[in-house]
Amino acid sequence: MSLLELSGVRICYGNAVAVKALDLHVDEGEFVALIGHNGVGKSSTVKAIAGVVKPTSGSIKFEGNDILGQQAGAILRRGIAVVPEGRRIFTRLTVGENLTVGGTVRSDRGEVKKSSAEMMERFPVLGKYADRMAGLLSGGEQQQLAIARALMSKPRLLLLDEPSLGLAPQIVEQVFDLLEELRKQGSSILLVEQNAAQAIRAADRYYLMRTGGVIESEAAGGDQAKADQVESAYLHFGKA
Amino acid sequence: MKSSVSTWSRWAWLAGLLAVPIIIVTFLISLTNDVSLIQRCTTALILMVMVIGLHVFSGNSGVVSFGSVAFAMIAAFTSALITIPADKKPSLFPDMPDFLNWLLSFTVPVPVGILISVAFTAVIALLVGVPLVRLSGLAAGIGTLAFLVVVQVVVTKWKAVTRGESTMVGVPKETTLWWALGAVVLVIAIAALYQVTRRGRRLIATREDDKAAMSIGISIPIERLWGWVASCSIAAFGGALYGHYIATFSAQTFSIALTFFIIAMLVIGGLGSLTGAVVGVIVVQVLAEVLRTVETQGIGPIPQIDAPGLTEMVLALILLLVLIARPAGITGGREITSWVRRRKGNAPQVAS
Ligand SMILES: Nc1ncnc2c1ncn2[C@@H]1O[C@H](COP(=O)(O)OP(=O)(O)O)[C@@H](O)[C@H]1O
Ligand SMILES: [Mg+2]
Repeated sequence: MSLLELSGVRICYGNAVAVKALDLHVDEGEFVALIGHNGVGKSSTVKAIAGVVKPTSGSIKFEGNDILGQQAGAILRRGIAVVPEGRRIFTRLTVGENLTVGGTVRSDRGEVKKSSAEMMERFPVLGKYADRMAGLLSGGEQQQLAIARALMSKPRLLLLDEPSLGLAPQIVEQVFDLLEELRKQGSSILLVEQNAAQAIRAADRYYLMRTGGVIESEAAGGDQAKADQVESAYLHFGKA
Repeated sequence: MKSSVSTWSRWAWLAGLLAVPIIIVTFLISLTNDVSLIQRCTTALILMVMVIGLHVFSGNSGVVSFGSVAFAMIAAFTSALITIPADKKPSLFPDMPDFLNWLLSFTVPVPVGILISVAFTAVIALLVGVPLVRLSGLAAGIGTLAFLVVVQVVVTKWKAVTRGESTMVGVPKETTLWWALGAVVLVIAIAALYQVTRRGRRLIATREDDKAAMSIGISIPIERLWGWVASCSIAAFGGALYGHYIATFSAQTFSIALTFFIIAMLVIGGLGSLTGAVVGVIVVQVLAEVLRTVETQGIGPIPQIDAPGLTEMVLALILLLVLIARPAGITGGREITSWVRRRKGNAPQVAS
């Protein structure tokens, strides 16, 4: 049984169909990339999984339970955390406070404190600037904070919506290193990216999304040639 | 590995840096023995309680409320009803409805009256808050304004209980400069504590980015409701103190004009920070003091300008200037702790 399983998911905004019929799954401990150009419905898919947007039809199962139509808070409590598009950290809370509010769904305060200390160890820059307003961090540091904040809920599955957007190539490298490290530690990850080559290289498997949700899926597993091939096909597709 | 500064030290810095100067200045003013100055200082401190009350909700949630004066009014009238000496009550309230007749038979000491009135107002705030916290922006503003108008009308028309235009009289006058100072210090401590602990931080998070807040499991209505009830209770505390200070009041005392005055102080100081609430009251009050002096006798080289309404006009002008030149207010919505940190590099920052 897959950890997350979407089948025939259709997402509409009014009369406009954003996603036609999407099938996708993520297994336990797997790192899956969902790539595609701007506007193909990647963020809508993430929002549907997280319960922010309600699909018009299809099913979304997490650990075998139907979660479609559940409240975002309930889905988070089940163990799906999101790093939203554009980071969206709380700029006028300190770094430390951003982390502790990330633990809102956990009831044990002591545990939240412990997790927050763990995050500061794992992301040294967050420890260094713990008492600084989060808005003063650089883009890359804010992205680390956004990921750490999501991890504060101890998720079983982490969804990331374009974490490399707007970051310098060097910083993007760091973000991908971090994701790889998370996977090694056993996290299950669904990564949404436009940055196809890098995402395919890092992921175990990828889905290529096209307008309306037509999809190709293949094992990636660090295959450089494959990544380049998809990248060029993907770019070509973009120009067509 | 540097660990995060403890919540307690943040709280102590923020509350201390705000409260200590106020305590010192109040003490100095008390030494002048200038009765009218002491009176105005007392009023300013009571206003500060109300402005801080408004900040706790509006400043932290980013949702504007025009309703805080309504809660001040409810508390002032409630405390009056239970603290006016029992022997005076029958003549003051000859038409008291039967179901409230029990109110006439007893009287409680003023501190108890204030406590009970704050608790009673908190319950009303909770009931009103449940539907209100689901509104945002303009709808929330209109909702709170509507509540203020409703309370105004009820208090004006329900003469049997509120004495309507005949005004409340015989209310024990017990609020002193020291009471008002104690109230301000207490309220600063509470507001600062709220802001540095989980509940307040969650409300600030909803103000900063409501969707991101929801995505990490923060319930916006629940956090707003906590802030709302705390805010209205503090406003109630200020209202009850005010009632026991002026001793004679009516619905007109708690007017829309007072509402805008309180909002203006918060905006001039800087919406979004407790420091802004405190600074706003001080700046506006000091300015009003200066203008009043000019109006009545002139200051130094400035001759007396005999223009009634000068104070109000200049204040309105300054509010406009602040809104245009510095929409985030004098403090820019930041806490005093962030300046001390920049200068000395030791005080921890507190979310504003
Ligand atoms: N809230 C919304 N209301 C209406 N249309 C939307 C909304 N969000 C997204 N869309 C539309 O749905 C499509 C997919 O958008 P999105 O999921 O954001 O794509 P991606 O993340 O892949 O760029 C786009 O055509 C977009 O214009
Ligand atoms: Mg997107």
